[in-house]
Amino acid sequence: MRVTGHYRQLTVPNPYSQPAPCIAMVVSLPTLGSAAGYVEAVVDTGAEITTLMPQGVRALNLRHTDVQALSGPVMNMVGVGGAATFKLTPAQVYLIDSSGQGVTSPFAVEIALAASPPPPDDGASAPLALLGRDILNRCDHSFSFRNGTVAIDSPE
Amino acid sequence: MVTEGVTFPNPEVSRRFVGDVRYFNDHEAELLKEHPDCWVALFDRKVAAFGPDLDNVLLQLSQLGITPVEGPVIRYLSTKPNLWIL
Repeated sequence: MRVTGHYRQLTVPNPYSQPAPCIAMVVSLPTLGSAAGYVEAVVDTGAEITTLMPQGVRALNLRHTDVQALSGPVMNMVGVGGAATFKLTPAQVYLIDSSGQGVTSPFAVEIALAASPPPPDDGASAPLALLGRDILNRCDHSFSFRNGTVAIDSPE
Repeated sequence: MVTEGVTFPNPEVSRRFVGDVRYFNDHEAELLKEHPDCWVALFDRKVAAFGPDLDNVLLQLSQLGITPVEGPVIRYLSTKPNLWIL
């Protein structure tokens, strides 16, 4: 099944900013009661696993203390900006087509949840979520900024 | 706080969510002028909540009965030209 996304600027336009491929997704977290919600994710082939950043955790009405209390493995996630603590927990992730009509079957993954509070000010404009290679490597995907297309073909 | 369980994902909510994402993309420059350095939650093509503090925006949404499963689109509209290397 093919779902399509969109490009958007992550920051106020400036001479160096580049639109990022994004996709709508639904995350369900059975280990956190029935926590679930819709988030926009940056399609990030550089991310090992699908991740909810601190703001994304909060946007699902969860607190970092809820994440810290989880029994799953703690991972030190290293990015170009430094390292931060995340917890891995089972999740079901659905990708939503930009028409709103199509939804993939759920991807059962262990998602990384930020175990730290959202950063103030400068960090606040970070993406809420990253769609990582744990899901992308199960799919085919194509991007064309010139044509404005982000397409992910899931195996179903 | 944990959202109560619902059947997921709801097709009607999915359509509204992606419609709101599109609306946000098309109107982000205006929204940035109106709500600089604020969190803005868009719901059904309207600004449902905004403010500099995400917790307060979530509280406003909660008071309107809008939970994460209802699919508000939440973004921080920064005036600072940060560059993200993810």
